[in-house]
Amino acid sequence: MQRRPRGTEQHLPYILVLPTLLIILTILIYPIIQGIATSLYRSEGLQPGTGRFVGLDNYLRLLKDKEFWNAARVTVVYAFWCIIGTLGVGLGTALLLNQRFAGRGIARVIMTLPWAVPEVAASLIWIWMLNPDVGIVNVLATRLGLITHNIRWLNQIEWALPTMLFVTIWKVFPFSSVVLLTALQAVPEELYEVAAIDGAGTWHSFRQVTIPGIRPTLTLLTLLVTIWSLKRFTLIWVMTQGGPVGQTETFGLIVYRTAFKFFDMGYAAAIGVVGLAISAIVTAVFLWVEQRRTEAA
Amino acid sequence: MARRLRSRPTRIANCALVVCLCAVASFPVYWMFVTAVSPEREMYSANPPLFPWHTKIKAFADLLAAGQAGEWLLNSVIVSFCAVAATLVASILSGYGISRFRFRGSTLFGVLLLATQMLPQALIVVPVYIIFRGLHLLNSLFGLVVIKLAINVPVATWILKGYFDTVPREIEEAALIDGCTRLQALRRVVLPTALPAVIAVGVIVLIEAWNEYLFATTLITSQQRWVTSVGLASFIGMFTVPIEQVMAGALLFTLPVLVLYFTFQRYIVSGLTGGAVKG
Repeated sequence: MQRRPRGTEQHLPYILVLPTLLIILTILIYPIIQGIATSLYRSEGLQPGTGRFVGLDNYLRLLKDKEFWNAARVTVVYAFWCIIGTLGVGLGTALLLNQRFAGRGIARVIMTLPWAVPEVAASLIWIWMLNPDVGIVNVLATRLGLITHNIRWLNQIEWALPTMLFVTIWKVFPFSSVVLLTALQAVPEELYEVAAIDGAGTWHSFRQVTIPGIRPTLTLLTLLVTIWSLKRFTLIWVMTQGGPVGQTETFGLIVYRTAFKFFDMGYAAAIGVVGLAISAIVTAVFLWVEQRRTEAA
Repeated sequence: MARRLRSRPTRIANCALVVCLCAVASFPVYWMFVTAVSPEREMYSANPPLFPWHTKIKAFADLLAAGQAGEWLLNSVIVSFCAVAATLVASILSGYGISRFRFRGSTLFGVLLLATQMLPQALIVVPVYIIFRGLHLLNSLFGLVVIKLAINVPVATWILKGYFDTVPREIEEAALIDGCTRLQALRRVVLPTALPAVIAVGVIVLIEAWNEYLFATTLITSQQRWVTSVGLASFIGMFTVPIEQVMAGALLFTLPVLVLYFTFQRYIVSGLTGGAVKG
C-alpha cells in the first residue's frame, strides 16, 4: 500500500538526493561546461580568464593538427584491439573454466589477479619485466630462442602499441571472463542436448546455441570495454607517456600532455571537448543499435 | 551449468591452456615478489633467478627507512577511508531516495548517474584543476577526497539503489507505523538488511580510491602529500632507487588491495553485477 506523502515527506526525496546531486553537478558536470568555455579561449599560462577569446580557433587548429589526428587514430586502434582481445581471451578463458576439472576454483582465483592489481603497480612491474636489457621477458624470450636481440618493447615504434595492448588485455581479461562465465553457465544444458540430437558438432552447437545465448552479455561487455578503452589513462601514461613519437598517445593522453606539459589550456580543453563528444556519440550509437536489435528480436 | 568434458585429448588440451593462462596471469605478480626479496645483483645478472633462493627482505626496511614510503602509505589510507565514509553517506541517502520515491526528475537523476560513468577522467582533469585552484583545493588531501567522492558516488548510489529495491517495503512500513521517521526507518531497519551492499560499496570505493592516480598526480604538488600511487610512479626513470625497493613498494601497495579483493570478492562481484547479493 502506497502512503501518500504529506508535509515534509513530500520534500524528503529531494533532500535525500541533494548531496549526491550537488557533488555531481559541481565536480563532474560544471567542469564539462567550464571546459567548453575554456576551449574558446587562447590561454596564456595557467591563469583562467587571461586568455583571449578566440571562438572556434582552437577547433580549427586541431583539425589541422597532425598530432591530434594521430591521437584519434591511436584511440580508435587501441579501443578496437582492446575489444577484440579482451572479449576473445575472456570468452576463451570462460569456455575453458566452464568445464569441470580439478583445481578449477584455484584457477579462477589466480586468473583474477591482473584485474585486482592496482594499475600503477601493474605498470611498474611490466616496465621492469619489459626492460630491454635485464627484463625477464627478453631474458626468457632469448633463452627460448624466440628473439635474437633484445627488443625495446616500450620504445620501438612498431612494438609500443602492441605491447600496451598486451598489457591492457592482460589487465582486463579477468573481468570479461568472469562475466562471460556467468553468462555461459546460464545457457540451459537442454539446448545443447537438442543440438546434439540434431547432429550438431562442437563448432555448430557453439555457433547456434552458445553465441546466441550469451549475446546480450557480449553486447554489454563490448560497450563496457569500449568505454573503458576511451577512459584509460593511468596504465598508458605511466608506461609510455604516449609512447615513442606518440605511438601510444590516445585522446586522454594528448589532452593531459597539452595541458600540463605545454600549459596550453585552451587547446587542451578543445581536444577534451572533442574526445568527450566522441565518447558520447559512441555510447549513443551503441545504445541505439542495441535498441534496434532488441526491438527486432 | 558447467559442462562435462568429453574426451581425453580435449581434457589435456583444456588443462594445458588453463595452466598457461594462469601462468601468464600470475607471473607478473610473482615476479614483483621475487624481485622485492632477491638481491639486486641477481636480478640484474644475465640469469635472474626464477625462484628466490637467496631472500633478503632488507629492501622493505630500506624503502620505509628512506622516509617517504611510509608517508605515502599513510596518505593513501587517509584519502581512501575518508572517501569511503563520504561516499557511503551520500550514496546511502540518494540510493534510498531513488529506490523508495518516484519524484519529478528521478529518471533524469538516474540517467545523470549513468552518464557520469562514461566520462573519461582525463577530459575533465583540466577544468577540475582550474576550478580547484580557484577554490584553494589544490595540493590538499581534502581536495582529493572530494574528487574521489564525486567519481564514486554515482556507482555507489546505483549499487545501493539496486539492493534497496530488493528490501521489502513492508518492513519499513511496519517501522513507520510504529512511529519512526523515514530516516529512522532507513537507519534502523533498511540499512541493517542492506549490509551486504554497504560492504560491497565500501570495499569497491576503498579499492578505487586507493588505486587513484590521475587526479592524485595532477592536484597534489608537494611530495609529502603524495599518495602511494604517485610516489611509486615517481620511481620510474629514476636510477637512484634500487629495483628491489621499487618492487617492495609496489608489493606493499598491492597487498592490501589483494587482501581486500579476495576477502570480499563475493560482495564486490555481486555489487557490480547488480544488487542481487541476498541469499
